[in-house]
Amino acid sequence: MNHVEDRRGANKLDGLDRAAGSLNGQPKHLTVWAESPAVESREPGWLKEVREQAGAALKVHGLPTRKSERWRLTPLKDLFAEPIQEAQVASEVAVASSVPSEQSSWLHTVDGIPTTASVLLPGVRVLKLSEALQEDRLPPSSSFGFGTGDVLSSCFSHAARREHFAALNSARFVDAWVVLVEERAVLEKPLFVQHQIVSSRPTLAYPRLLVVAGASSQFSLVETLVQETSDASGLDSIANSVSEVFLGPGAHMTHISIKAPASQTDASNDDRVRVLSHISVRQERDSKYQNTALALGGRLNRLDLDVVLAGKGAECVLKGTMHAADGDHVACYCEVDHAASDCTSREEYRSVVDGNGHVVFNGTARVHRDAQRTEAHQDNRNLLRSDRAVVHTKPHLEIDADDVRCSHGATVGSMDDEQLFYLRSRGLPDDQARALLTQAFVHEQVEHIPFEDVRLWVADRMQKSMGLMTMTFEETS
Amino acid sequence: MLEIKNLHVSVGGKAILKGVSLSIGLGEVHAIMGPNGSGKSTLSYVLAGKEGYEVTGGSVRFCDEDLLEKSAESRAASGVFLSFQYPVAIPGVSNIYFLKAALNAQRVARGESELDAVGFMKLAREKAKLVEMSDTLMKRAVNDGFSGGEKKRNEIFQMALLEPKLAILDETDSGLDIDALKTVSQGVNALRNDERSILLITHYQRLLDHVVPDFVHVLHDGRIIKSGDKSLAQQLERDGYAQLTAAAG
Repeated sequence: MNHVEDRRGANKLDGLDRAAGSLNGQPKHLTVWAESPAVESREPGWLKEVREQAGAALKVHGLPTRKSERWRLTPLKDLFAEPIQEAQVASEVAVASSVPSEQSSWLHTVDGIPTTASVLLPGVRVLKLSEALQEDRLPPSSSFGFGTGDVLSSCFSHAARREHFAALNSARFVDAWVVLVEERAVLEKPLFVQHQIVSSRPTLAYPRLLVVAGASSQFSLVETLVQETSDASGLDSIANSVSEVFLGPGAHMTHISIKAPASQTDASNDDRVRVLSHISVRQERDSKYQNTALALGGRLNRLDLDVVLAGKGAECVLKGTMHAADGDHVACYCEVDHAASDCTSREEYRSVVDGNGHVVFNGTARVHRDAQRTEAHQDNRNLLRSDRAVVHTKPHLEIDADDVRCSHGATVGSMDDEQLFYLRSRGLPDDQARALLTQAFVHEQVEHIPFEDVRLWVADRMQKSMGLMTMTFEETS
Repeated sequence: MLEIKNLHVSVGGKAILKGVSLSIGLGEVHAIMGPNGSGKSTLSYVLAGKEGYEVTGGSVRFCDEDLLEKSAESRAASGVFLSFQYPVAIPGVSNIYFLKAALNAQRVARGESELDAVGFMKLAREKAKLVEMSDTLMKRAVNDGFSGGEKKRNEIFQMALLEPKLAILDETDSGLDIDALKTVSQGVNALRNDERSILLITHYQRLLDHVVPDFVHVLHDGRIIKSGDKSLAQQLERDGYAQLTAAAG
């Protein structure tokens, strides 16, 4: 096991893979991209530095290989089998809105590039990074509770991973959405960030989001990457996204992320968008972060979720639901860093696996020496609906403090025959009985979502993915 | 209505039922009594269609159809109901949602129209009175955290809702205190009519004091060794199984 390479250090390269020396064995255009971070002349010095350091990290480490413990289960072999281009300009395509509510505030990215936004909520500013850089009157980072200086240079790329695909995003992203939530603002409606891959040619997209929330603010944000399969968009493309979240003291955020790159049933799952998404969160004291991640299908659909509990009394609840159908690989690597005392973390992940689908759960809670009175719990449950389904699960605790309450556990099982027979003996056909038991298995994962329209919409996406279309969640217990 | 002929059943290669024959007419209540391990529960599971039971001989006809070739769900739709000895808990699925889905699945299978939510709730509340099921109990997750008595009441509530032609009550009296036994028995009696047959499977006679059978059969080592009227149950209670089973060898 090699955990060192997974750690993020301040502006530091581990150098473990230095022997590799270059992007040997990686596609040539990646080498070129790594060596030429997408620095623009009008970008400020700090941003140039971000890009150059990311490029340097790529040069040293390259993209991951399956020799790395953290990546050994991820099917990377065919990732760049086809020639691929980077998205440079957002396509002029009308994007079908998939958000559930008309009145919602929304932000779009198309092929990873920010396009339009409509945010009418008081207490929040939404702007593109390129615009924000031109702004003179952005609030200072101190007003959000993060250091001194301006908020962008203090936060941008300070939470994100510094290696591999996250570094590629940092080196090459075109533009980013910046969401600034004011101190004590309470947003009454959720913000929707909709990512869509519309290019008809194989495209490498770099969606990028920065969220900074001031002290005692409260809000919900829903990030979606939902590919409808009615057209040919997104074939053989890769969405390599980075979202960074900074929560000031006492801020509360509900963050829902849905990645459904091959939604609906689709015969040619093979060439659907592959998703490598990174969410990195830094929490100050007494803040609360609730993440609900749904990774529904896809030949490669991986989430790397990292949370640093930096301030005393911070709390995070990470709930994930994964579904892998035949031919799918769905993975979640989540890591919680208890860097301060009196923090609580809960990781609750469930997966449903069909056909020869493959799900990976890798959860780490790391408790630093000074993080006394820590509570950290991990729970991973997997339901295999086929004999060929595969699950790799690794809940993992690293504890250096002595006053902690920690637990971890994982279960992998198939449908319960006794439950199935009970339902069928009452007249439910086998497929309905199985759907009902699957629903019972996953419904807790979304029932806490605060807005009813969002909750129903999320449940609907989940039901469609898992073939539970006949049921509504409101009728379950 | 139910015609069991020379039924042989094995579980995991071991013969459990060794030639059971039983005929139940419309509206009749039959009791099968027997010591532990005599094959009572196997008989109930085989009739309800549970997998893992191998029928090695004989036949079962229900309403002039071959019951054994049907799936568990189509047996339910054709009117067979099993009240479980150990009702299964299903966390995350509300009782009422499950029953609506089940009833409608049966109705669809029979070519009838589905009940809507309002119609179903009206029916459910009416049936709930039979066994004093509270609204809370109806809406809780199926048997999840239910007491023994609540589980058995829930079984009879389901029977009332699904209105089977043949109800098999497997050890419905087990785990019940005297008050719960009365409630459950009253429910069963209320559901007794000329169109509905009932097969009571029990170890003890006490249920039969409340739900009085027309016929009593004694099952021993996979065979029915004696049949009679309700007085047979009283005889068994008095003398125990030993005398009969010894005679049967």
